[in-house]
Amino acid sequence: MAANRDPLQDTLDGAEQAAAILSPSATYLELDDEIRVTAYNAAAGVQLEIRSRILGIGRKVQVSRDFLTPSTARAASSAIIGTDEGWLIGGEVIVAGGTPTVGQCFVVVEIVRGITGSSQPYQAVAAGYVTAKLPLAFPGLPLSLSTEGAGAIRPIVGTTPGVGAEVLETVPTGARWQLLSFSTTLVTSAAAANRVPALIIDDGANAMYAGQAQGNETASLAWSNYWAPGAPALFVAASFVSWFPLPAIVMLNAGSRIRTSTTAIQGADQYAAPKYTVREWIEGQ
Amino acid sequence: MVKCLSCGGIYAPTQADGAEYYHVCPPLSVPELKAALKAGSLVVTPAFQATIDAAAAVDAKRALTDTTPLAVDTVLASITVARHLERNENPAGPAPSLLAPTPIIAEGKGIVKLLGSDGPPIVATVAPAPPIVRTP
Repeated sequence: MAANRDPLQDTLDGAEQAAAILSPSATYLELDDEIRVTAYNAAAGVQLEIRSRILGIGRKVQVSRDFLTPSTARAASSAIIGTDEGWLIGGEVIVAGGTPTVGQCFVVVEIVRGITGSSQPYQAVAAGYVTAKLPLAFPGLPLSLSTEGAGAIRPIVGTTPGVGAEVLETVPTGARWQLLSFSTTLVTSAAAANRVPALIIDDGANAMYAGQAQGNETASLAWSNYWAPGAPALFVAASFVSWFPLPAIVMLNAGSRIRTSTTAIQGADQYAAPKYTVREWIEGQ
Repeated sequence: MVKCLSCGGIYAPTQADGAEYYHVCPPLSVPELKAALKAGSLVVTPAFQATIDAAAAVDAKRALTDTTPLAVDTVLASITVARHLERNENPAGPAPSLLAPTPIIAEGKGIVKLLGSDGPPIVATVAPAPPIVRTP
């Protein structure tokens, strides 16, 4: 062996030999490989920062910082990050703007080839939610499902329907909901009739559950109606309040509907905007 | 706040937590179905019309009070009819480009912004009350 020859250089000649003998990472990136970060986001004002560390052929660690501003429609927003050849030592996706909670911004990190929209994924290296307190590290951690975890607790004020119309709320595209509570007020007109509100949960076509008030909501009054798991089936006419239980766990796919169906509703009756609480996850696209 | 011109619903397109709210018009209620049938803008199948007619015949034979539930209402409540040109704001797919808006499933008749809906709530200012002067 020649004098002053760097023994490490012999090792580094040939990527295959290098990977087999001196491999600081299980993930080797060739020049054609890129990192693609895809976010499915529901929160406003979110900006993601992607940081990575690559040990290049020249035995220097190169760091990179890139940004992705995902849409808020829970649809895929991707950024493809060009990398040099070398070993992917590690990286992370952090929240650089906005305050998404668990259940709102789901990120998938992959090794792909091709830098346009037709890039082909070859290896998933990370999948999970990111929040302002929790980055997504890669590689090395197990992949998570978007429907795992605590979900995002969301209070929602829905649509005030037109006069004489029923309430309708729909699980948005790309979301999975667990319904935690639902309430709405029915202001009855002067027309004499015994209104009986029912809350119906359907899949967009077929009713899966109906919970009906236990009494008659009469004219010229404002009746408060509450539905929740564990609520009693109770109607207190003197207080103009009705409670009704929902099933213990109400899980709803995108497109499912929560709506009222009111016996003897009159043309001048008016529902107030429903107020309800859900636990939300990003649904699989 | 905006108002849907298809159904008259009023809602906030962005919730307090910053998430987008996608309005969908509700199906026709029983009073709306009755009005549509009377106006001829809703046509049902002969079999369903026969069911409605049978329910009306039942109601005609009963001693109805103001609060008697009508058989016709029960029949009409059993169907779900989407309103004409309903609006559905759920995304129909990805935006065609970064600067383009995300397409929605159905525009319906559109929406109109309600006055004062973009900023903080309009609060009427009240002149301060005069000081109370206590005389010994």
